[in-house]
Amino acid sequence: MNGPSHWSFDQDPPRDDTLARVLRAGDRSAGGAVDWEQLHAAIMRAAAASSGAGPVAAQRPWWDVLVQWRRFAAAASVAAMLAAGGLVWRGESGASDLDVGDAAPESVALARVVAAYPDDDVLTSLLQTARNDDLASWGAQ
Amino acid sequence: MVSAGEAVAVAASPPPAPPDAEEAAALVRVQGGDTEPFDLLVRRYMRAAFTIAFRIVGHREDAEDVVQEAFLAALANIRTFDTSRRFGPWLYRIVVTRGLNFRKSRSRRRTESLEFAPPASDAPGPAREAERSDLRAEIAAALARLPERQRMVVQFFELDGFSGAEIAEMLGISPGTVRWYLHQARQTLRGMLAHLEESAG
Repeated sequence: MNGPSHWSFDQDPPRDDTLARVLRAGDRSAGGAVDWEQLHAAIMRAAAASSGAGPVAAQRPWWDVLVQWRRFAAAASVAAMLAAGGLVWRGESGASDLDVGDAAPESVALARVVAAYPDDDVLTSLLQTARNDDLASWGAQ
Repeated sequence: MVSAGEAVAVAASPPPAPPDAEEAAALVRVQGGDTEPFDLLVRRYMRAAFTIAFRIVGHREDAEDVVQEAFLAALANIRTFDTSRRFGPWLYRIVVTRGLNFRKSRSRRRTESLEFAPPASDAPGPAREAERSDLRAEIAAALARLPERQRMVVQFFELDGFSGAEIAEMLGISPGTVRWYLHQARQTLRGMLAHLEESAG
């Protein structure tokens, strides 16, 4: 066994036929015992089954889609909270003369928002509804 | 001065070989969700994948399981695959990873080592058989003394005919490192097995 003993990392050395022959004498490849058609069929069956449950977008369950969008949903929630906070802050600074009395906190917040946007009819009607709800709940007790 | 270990670490890898037109077309279709062309990939790479798996796990049935798992893992991740490259080396890497994981998980189980297993069919007589058995045991013992990567490299290169670049991609190391492992493994084996040269012939 006197094969080449130099080493180079730039190119593969020539095969050492003598060493290969010795190793082969101790090697028992199992390739001859494999039923290749059966193995092939098993792989293809499993592949078909896995792709049936698979990665095609139209077949994805709704919770997968939900999970995919969770980061956007979280970011949107944070943005909405910041926007609401900003509106409340502006309301406080623009309607300092608002008489809050014993009103519910939600109504006060809404009133401050309305004060910041006095010409918005939708907000005004919301405030009115909130007041009615307060009165209704008091009356029910 | 740069040591051999440092030198192999910086050895550049050759650019990966592109797939032939048939394989490239099959890969694109499989990426599009069509599993039918996967058949071509399975037929083309199943045998080499089995050889690699068998070298690692040492059992035919286990190697078949590893090959099947590796193909399924490749299919599941096919969208991440760069279709300008050949499918084989990527699959072989998966086979190696799965094979090593399989062997770890199997370590609790008592298994018969193939290197020491009796021969399958040809029965040449008790004396000759005992001689062969001794030869196998000695070669297996010499291989077992090599570090894991050196053993895989020398077997893949000398017995299975893979190139240094192919082995590098399989094992996730540079071709230079593969050649260094091969060099070391050869030195060790030549020292231990030189007296078997005639017996093996």
